[in-house]
Amino acid sequence: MSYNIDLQKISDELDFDLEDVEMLIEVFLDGANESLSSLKIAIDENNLEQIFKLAHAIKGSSANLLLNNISNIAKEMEHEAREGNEINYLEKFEILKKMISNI
Amino acid sequence: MYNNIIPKVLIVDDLKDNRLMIELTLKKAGEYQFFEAVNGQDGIEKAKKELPHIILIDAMMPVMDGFEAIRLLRNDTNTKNIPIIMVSALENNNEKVRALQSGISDFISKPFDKTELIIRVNSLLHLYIQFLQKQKELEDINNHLEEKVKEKLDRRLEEIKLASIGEMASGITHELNTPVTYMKANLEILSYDIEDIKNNKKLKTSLFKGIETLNNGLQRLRGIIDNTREISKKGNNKKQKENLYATMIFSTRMIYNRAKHLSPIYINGTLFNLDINENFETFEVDMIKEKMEQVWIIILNNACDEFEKTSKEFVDRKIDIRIIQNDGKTIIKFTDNGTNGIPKSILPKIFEPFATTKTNQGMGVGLNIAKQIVEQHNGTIKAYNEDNCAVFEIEL
Repeated sequence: MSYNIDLQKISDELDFDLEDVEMLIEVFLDGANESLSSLKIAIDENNLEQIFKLAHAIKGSSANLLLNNISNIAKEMEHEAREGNEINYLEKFEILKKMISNI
Repeated sequence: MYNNIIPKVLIVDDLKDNRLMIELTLKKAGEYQFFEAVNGQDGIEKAKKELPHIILIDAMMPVMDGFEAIRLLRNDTNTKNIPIIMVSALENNNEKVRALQSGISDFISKPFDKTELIIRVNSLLHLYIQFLQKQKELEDINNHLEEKVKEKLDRRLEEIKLASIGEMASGITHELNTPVTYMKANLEILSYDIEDIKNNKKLKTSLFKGIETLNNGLQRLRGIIDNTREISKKGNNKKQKENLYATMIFSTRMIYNRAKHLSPIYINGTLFNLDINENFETFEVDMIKEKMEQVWIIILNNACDEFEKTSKEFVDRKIDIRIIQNDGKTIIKFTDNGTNGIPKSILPKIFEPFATTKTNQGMGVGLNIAKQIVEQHNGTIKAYNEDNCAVFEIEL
């Protein structure tokens, strides 16, 4: 499988074998896609607590893989949701979704 | 690394990539057995089942979060000491404090530094496995201790039992002393009265015979009383250098009157007779002379008792006494072939008071007295059989 991200660079930085990184990315994508579907529902329902939890999960997982752009957006959403702020989550969600599908 | 134990690591996180991340990191550092759980509830079940050596747990999870799981793990005897590291992306300081207060051993922020994770996991593993080993050692010692205490208690109970029997016996014999004394005095007066009988020689003879029998009985009674007193008596006589050979000659002379009809006695190979010089040989030993003489008399009397029971020809009988001195130690060995040695049933408790085979010859306290005296001299006494002979061996 080929990705738009530099696997070799991640592998070097994490000091993991390339195949391990590939496996991690796949597992991450599975989990992230699931989280994204749930996140969409939570946003539609304006369920801030769910938004907070799901963004938190995506933030942690992506940070593990040094996917900092994704991690930062997720972190913003997590913070806003925790504070109970009703911002435009859908907009951030679309960015997140695009980033993840671009991997 | 841990005495051949492969450490068991339980990772509790709802996200597979997080669990994988930890496993891949630790795998690079050594050998571990990994167990995974997807939420707090699952984590508790796996922890109870596998009893891991360390638990790495996330804070936020569905069904049951990390905090609740930790609380429950800490309340369970089987899991309460397992080290727990919370691995979480908690941002808020309050939450970190709450995590630390919940009973975790350590906290690592996500995304974690790999070296840090490895070092923290390994140092906690090391401590915990050591703790488990020490705990097991302690348990072993404890179990052993219970046995030891029980053994000691049993022995002590036996001692107390014997001591109270001894006390009772000494009380009784003390009470017996007075009637024995006035019986003896009255028997003497009675014998003067009998002396005065002039005209009935037959009656006189028969009365004297009765007196003699009574006297013998009283004599034996007095012997029992004296022996019993000896058990509870704690002498504080002073030891001094004596010729042990001389004490042996003295004691043998004492019992010779009885022994001469029962068995020849040899001392260091020489047949005993009343003319033997008590300094014919010399074995100097620190002792209380009178006490040691008593020991020899007790043992020789016991040997004589055995010959009362045998039908052996006089020439085949033998009481053999050997005194050997070597390297500051003195060994005195009494061997008799009166019967075919000491019965096995009596051998283990032969030095306990009242352990007697004799049905009509005293209370069986003699050897106990002998043992007490020997021990007072920091010596040992043992009884065993050798070539169908009974042996009493004293080492001083």
